[in-house]
Amino acid sequence: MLASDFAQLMPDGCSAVLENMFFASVVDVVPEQSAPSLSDEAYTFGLRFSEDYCGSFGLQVDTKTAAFFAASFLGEDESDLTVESVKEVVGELANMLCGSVMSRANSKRKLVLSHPEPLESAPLAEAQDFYVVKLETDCGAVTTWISMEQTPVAA
Amino acid sequence: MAYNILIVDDSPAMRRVVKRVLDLSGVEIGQELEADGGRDALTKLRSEWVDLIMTDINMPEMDGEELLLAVRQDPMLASIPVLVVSTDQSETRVKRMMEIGADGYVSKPFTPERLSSEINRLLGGGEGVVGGGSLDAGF
Repeated sequence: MLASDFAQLMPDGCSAVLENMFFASVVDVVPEQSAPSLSDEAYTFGLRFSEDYCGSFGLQVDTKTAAFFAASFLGEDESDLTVESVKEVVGELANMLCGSVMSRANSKRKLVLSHPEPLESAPLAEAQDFYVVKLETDCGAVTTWISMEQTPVAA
Repeated sequence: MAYNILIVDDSPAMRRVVKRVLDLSGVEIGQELEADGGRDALTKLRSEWVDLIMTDINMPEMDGEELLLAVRQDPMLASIPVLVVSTDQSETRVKRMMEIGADGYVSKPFTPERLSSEINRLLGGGEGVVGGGSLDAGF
């Protein structure tokens, strides 16, 4: 499977998570040529998926949008949230987005996800096959990307 | 009757969300126990009685599948209902978990109504019994 095959799967998979668990509606989908740079004004997380498909998934969300998402997800006021709890939510968002997208890629294939971690180097720096999309929601933007490392072995 | 529930997930944020759904589900809760992985869960299960285990699958060290196998192989724990709550929606995974003894499977993302309905079903409250606080306003 190629990263470009995710052009429709990414918006569909991400929308389901954002709407059901973060109460944010996707209003625009903008493919990007590259992943965003790391920024002090944003949280950037990544994780790896393996088993039948291998690759990595990442997201970046600015700190203000992340705080809003965290408040929605946890059902708490933004003023009561710590930076640590917001980061935990962004990590869980990355986990759920990846799971939702990959499950749509092939509903029969097993999925193993690594623990989401904050990225400390430029995303996709050495990736050959990747797809990046920015999802504009009514609460702020989320940029997500996927990088495929090998094609699956036929079942 | 108050139920003791064990929530197993390596994400503290997800454990908080599940606790919130539990609190709004209408089920009378005794203790809400938390574990950040399979090993931690087994330690807690061997020291506290639990009426329901809610577990993620993808966790470091000991994942949800290994935990479920360990629970079903332990005579002291084997009868405890297990509800899987996971991002993995693949048919392969769902089938596998049900085959090795899961009693229910809720994939993420989930609505609070869906999760609450499964909790009530497994604790003997019937299908879709939702009471207490309002779930309509979301989490």
